[in-house]
Amino acid sequence: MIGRRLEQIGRALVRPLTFETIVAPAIADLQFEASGSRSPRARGYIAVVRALSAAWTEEVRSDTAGTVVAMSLALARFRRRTAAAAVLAAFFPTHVGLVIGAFLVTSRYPATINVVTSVPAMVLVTAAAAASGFARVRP
Amino acid sequence: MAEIKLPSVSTTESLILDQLRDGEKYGLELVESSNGRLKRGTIYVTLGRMEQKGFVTSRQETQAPGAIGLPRRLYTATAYGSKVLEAYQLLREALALRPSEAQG
Repeated sequence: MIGRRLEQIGRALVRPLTFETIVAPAIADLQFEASGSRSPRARGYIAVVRALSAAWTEEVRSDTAGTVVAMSLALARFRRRTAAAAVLAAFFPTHVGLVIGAFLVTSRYPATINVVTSVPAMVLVTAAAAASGFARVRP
Repeated sequence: MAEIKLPSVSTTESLILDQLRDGEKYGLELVESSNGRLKRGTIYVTLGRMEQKGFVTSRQETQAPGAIGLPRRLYTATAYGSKVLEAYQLLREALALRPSEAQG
């Protein structure tokens, strides 16, 4: 079935509501084209990819909690050297942050110990970012 | 005096609302009936944003038993969306006048 892989990727990357309202309609129209006499065109695939990337970006902007976790893990792993990277992480996609986090957890340093000390710092950084208008905090 | 926040309507959004005057449509239908003015790459994102703004509402189509693939989504303009479109068009007409015409 055309679009099945894109559907799986979409479901993995964004929340169900975002998927249903933005990504699924694009995939459904692509599948509709493929099921009829019309063959799906590149524009159909591009529409799905663009919908997916836009939905993903929106997820990132609204998910501060995930970003805090990712930032904490980043600081825990690299400590002060990555302070700048941690601040940047506030603006990066949450899922990218989680990937970084997964990498850090499997690294050779005892990251979990350092998370305990870095979480309060990260909460402050995120609060400052939200107060300055750089990041949106979901109510 | 309390500040009134006016709804913002982009050109693409007004085009979509205009297309939805004929009744509910699929995203792909909107693109095809727009004569190239609406782009397929951005229509779904725009529709999602319009739904958040309350300009449109949507529902999933009822699929036949045994149908494969995801159900398509149908969009309808809300009463609020239609009202905003009407106001937007009036505003455009008013701003299209030259200053000399407006004085007369």
